[in-house]
Amino acid sequence: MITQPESGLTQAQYDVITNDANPYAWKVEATRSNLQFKHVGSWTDEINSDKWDALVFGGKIVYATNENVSVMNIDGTGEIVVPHGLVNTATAPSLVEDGTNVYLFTYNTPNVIRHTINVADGTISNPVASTSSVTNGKFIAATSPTRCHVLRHLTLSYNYQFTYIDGIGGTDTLVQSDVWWQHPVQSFDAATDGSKDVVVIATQSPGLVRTKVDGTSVYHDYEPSGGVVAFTVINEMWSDHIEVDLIDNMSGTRMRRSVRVTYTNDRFSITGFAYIASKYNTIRTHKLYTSKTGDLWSMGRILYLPLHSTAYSIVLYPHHERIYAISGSDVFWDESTSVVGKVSENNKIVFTRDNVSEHTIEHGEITSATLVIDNALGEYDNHPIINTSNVIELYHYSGRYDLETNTPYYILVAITEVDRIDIDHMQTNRTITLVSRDRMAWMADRTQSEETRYWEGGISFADQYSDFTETGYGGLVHTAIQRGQWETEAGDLWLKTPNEYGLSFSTHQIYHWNGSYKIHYNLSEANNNEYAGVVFRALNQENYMAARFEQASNEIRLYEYRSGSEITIMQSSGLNPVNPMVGSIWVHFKYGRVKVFFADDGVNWRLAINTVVSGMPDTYINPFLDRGYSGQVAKGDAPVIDTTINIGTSSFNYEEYRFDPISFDTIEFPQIPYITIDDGTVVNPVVSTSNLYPDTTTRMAAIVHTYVMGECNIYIKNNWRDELESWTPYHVYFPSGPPRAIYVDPRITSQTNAWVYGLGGVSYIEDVFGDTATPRQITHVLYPHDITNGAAMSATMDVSMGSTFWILVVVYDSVDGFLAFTSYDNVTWNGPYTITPNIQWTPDPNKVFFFPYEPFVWIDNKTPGRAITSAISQYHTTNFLLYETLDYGQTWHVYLEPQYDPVTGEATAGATVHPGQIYAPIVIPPDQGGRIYYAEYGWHDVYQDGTGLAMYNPTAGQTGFIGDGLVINGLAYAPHIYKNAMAQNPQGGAYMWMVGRNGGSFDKNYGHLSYWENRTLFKSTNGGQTWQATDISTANGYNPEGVIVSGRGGSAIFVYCLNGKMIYSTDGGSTFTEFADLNITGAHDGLIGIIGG
Amino acid sequence: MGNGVRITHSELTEQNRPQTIEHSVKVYGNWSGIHDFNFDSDVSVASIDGSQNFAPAQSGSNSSFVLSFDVDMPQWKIYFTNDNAYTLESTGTNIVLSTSTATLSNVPITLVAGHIEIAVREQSYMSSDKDVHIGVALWNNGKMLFSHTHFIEGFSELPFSVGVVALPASPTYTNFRVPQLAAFVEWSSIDPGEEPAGGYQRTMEGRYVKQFVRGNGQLRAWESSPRDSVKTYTYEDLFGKVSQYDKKELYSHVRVMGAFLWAEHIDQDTLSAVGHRFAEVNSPYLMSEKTSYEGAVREQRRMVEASKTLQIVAYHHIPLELEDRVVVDGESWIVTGKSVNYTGFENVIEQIQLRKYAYE
Repeated sequence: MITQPESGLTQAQYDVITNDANPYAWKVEATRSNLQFKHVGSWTDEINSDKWDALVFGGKIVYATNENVSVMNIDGTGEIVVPHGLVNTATAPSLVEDGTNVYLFTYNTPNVIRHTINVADGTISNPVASTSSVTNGKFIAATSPTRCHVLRHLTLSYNYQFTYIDGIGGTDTLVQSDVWWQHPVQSFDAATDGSKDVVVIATQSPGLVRTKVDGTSVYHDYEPSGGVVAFTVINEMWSDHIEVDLIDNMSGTRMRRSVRVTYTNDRFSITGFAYIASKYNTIRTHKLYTSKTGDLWSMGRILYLPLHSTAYSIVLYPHHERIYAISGSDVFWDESTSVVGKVSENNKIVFTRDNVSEHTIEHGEITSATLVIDNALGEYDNHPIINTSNVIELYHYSGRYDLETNTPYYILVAITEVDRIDIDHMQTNRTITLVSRDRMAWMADRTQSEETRYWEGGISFADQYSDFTETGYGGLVHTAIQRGQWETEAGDLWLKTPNEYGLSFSTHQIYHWNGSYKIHYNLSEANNNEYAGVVFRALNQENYMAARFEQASNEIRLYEYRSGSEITIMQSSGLNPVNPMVGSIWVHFKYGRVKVFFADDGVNWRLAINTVVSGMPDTYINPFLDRGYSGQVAKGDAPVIDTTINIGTSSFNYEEYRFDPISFDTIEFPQIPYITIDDGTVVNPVVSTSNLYPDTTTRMAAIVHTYVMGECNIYIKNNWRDELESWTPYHVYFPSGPPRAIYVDPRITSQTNAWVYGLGGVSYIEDVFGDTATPRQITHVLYPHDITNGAAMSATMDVSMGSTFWILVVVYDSVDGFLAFTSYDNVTWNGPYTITPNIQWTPDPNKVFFFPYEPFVWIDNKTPGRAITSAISQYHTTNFLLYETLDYGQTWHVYLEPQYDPVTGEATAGATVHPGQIYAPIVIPPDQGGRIYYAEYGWHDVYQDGTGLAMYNPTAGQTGFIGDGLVINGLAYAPHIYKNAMAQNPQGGAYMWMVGRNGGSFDKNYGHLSYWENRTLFKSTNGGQTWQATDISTANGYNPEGVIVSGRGGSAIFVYCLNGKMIYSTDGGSTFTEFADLNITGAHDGLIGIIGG
Repeated sequence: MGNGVRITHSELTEQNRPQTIEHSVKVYGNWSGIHDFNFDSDVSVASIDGSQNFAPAQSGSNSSFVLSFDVDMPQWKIYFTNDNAYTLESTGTNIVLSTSTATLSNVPITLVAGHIEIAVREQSYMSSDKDVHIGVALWNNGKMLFSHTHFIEGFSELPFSVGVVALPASPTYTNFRVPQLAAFVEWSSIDPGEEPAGGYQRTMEGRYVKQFVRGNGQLRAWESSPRDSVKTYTYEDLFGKVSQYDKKELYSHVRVMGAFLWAEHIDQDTLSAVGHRFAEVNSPYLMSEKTSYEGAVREQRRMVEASKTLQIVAYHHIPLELEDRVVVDGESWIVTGKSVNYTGFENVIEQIQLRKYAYE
């Protein structure tokens, strides 16, 4: 029953409509619900990024960038552009209005500053800086004149902390959340409905790791997830995160970014930019998500803009009967529709008995209605609402007349959406029939999900370790044993392995990103260095975090384990338990925050540890660490295990028959079998669980075009498998020299930020492939150093997926020496740190001095802070050194040095470390062996018989070259391995590739084949032990220069040639295909990168 | 020598929101674009003066419930009882969960004023009614802050009741509510290309909840329950009346297969009407024998309702909605559907489809 309060009528009016004596009245209001934006105007201060804000106020559209305030009338006329002159480059500005004024918020670390905008002339005045300080602001978003949200970015831990400053203009305070978001945030915004704020981010989230087999390669594949996430903020408390639109397999063709949120009439509206569909048919569009409560959201609707579409954010802003869509370049408007919470009076047409020949409603599980409109005069032909191109909603009102006043009163009895429009065109009976259903049809068939969505429901799980199965094994039904022998007995879980640490996981949840884990424990023996504790965010028995009470120190210590190595993060103060053998530990882990409680009695808890941990390691070394298992760890005395138990007359080996409900290893990380490759050789496939590259996509390749006066083109193919797609040139201004290689920011797959390095240093370019029309801007340049004395400078870099995000660049300067620079955010650079000064080597300084001709650098993804750089070469008698750092590039030491006669410069007889110059990237397969492959420019007489490729195995000691004297294709001479010409799938594998010279005579005086060269692509199928020439060679019309292997399985191989050709293979190099449509003359350096692996 | 380190108890808590059937309906509704809802409540009190005890109100469920309220200060105290009695208090500095005889957990966590959501669930993780825990979890303004799991050795027989314990701080509780659809679902999900209704169906499986969209666009969902009549029709009010009694789908024995255990309900009236007729229904998310039995009772009643139908024609009664109870010639019926023709006659006539009201 629609009750009187629900009807919106007074009791007297309600009585009118329920009195059968009163005549009926009814009407149907038709409205268009889909948004059809119309272009209003364009901003002079156009900006192709998210670094702007806009709103509509008092008949004006106000727009602010980091340089200007612009104001235009709502009809697009009268634009004013006024430079505001504020220093606020750290964040984009934010605008807010309170019905009286418009305010511009900027962030000038460590304060938020509010300015009042005069919308008549665009000027700003009355700056008010917050008295509260908040450092490391990355994004700001004001929700009122007195409140501004600030998303901090903690550089070293790489956490984002949500905060806001409240009371700006008075006595303001900084309110800090406990949300330390561990994943890269691409964009940020906030809005309020007056009772709560909604904060939204475009971000990554814990991805998926899969074990895959591709041909003879077995590897772990990390599939990044991400999308749109929101929080609500009420009374200084941020909610847990709310998934608005998170997608798996986020890539260059499937992503969400550039989010904004506004409050539109009666609901929050989030807009974002999305790449949807698949890589073969990617649609780029904006999406609209709506919610009235902020905690549950609609599926993203497609939000079309008619022209001047942007790949960045748009702001939806209501203004009276209209809704505006504002981008960084244009302004659009439409009459408001129900989608944004209000139907404009200009977006309605009313039907009554006067112009309707039939109106019926069938109320049921899905209510349907039929409305036949008289169209005798064609009045609804090409109608703005009654139109087949629209989504038409019908609001059905039913009522009765008050006979005394002849006034009709109505109740809304149905809202239906038109499914079908029948048009009778005959002049004698021109009608339009609208067949419609109510919103239950949205549930039933009008909406379908684009992606898999999952809302988990379980809350808490407990284990008493009791055997309710009465089988003798049921106590372990929810426990997966990882290390040591665990048994259940008398309702307890016992670690039976004496004085060795044991580890077991709960199987109640296997994707345990955030939550808590609690144990009650009893230690075994006093004064025995025992411990017990909680394991969380575990990938496996070697990778997890742990908080454990330690008998020896009387403390709870928080550890992080990586590859079995233990790192202490924090310890509590002395706990002095009432009973030193008994206690309870409760770990709360949510985003970057870890809290550890301790209780003597299992009831009364005290906070022992409260800290923020680094998020990036969890994400990028082992993504599972963020989304894994929880369990318990312990160590203590125990009797020697009796491994035999007797049941009846049978004897069982306990280990063998132990009830173990889930074999963790076989489920998550199977033992990889040995693989027999094509030639019958059996190899151990190289599989890494920790060196996982967060690929963005395999769909793009890049190539450098002619470099002229700092300008070049990077040619991109969005889908390199699509033969119909042309290569698109992207214009890049690169001031100091031609680019050498390109790296995509692995943290932000939703926006292709890139570093490009070359002879001029390293530059950072945001959204390098975002727009073909506008030259990409280099936003940061490293080492804009004058090169003195005419010496060459080389730079190289790598992007670590390691313990924390860091970039390492090594350069050689003839004055300053061999230097390293590091950055943790690509903005702030640390260094230079001296790898080695530019000293000369005794005893013959004229013969031996440093000259890193082609430095290469490699960051160890498994060991935080470790990197190796190569290419200290020597000018006359060629030598090389490898330097190692263990502290993120701050200090360096010699890792490998040549053995040679210091007087003659000749190699020491029988030396296993050769003089030689590294002349190609060192390749260090991400396996446990840590072998190092490098191409040695081996011109020396002693080694001219084939020392072109060397392989160093540090596990065998520094005397242990293995693979020394490898013979390539039976050549008697050392092949010349080209720079950038050795490659292996970054995830490892038996296949390796390199480009060298095949055949010819060797000139020992100049160190290369002085005549008749035949550049050839070589292939190894056994991890570099033997090599075979392929058909890709000069002799066959190609001039190979470099080779790159796709990080996804290694089956896609790209070879670039000096004659501008590029070829690829998708079958592991069995066959190659030429990019026939790539015809770039004057290519500088051929292929420079595969975007995203 | 010791006998080994022992772990005597462990608990794992997720951060998920409590997914009741009501919440799941909201999930799917919002996903489809519906943002307005209408649900029934087992407990619904607009405002409570927290300086005095508030008598317990029965939640209607004996295995789980979610209590929500808004409170104007960080201090509050509620209790809930079924076979056991518990209190949950926020002191301003600590959260304290207790039984009538012992403190179960006392943890230093500070709350703020605002919205509180408390989920309580008796649950078993295997096919044993002995392996039963009661889990208690707390959200403050959407943030999960506290959880505790307590071994209770068997599902409770009594339904939950909830109330407020007087505090000197005199908090004011508003919107104090336990939803009718408080039973937990394990998850909600939608596959690519799937409609929300498809996901909802998989979430619910054998559980039966009525849904329709009201005239104002609200999605209404509820479990059938006794209700008052909203309209009485006499013979003089009717332009037509046709009744039907179809025994084809009427079963006297209804067995519901729960997650681990099954239960059967036998209806004596139906037994006398149709003899021994057996039906089995799968409802894999009913975790105990008792909840399975309750499901069987509901299922059998639904069959009785569906077996007797009535169709009447009368003047259009504008406020009348689906699932309203009406009385026709002294007999109670439920509105299953109605057809309104606004243009066929001078007066608007509607044809109403009814099914038997089975709570009498």
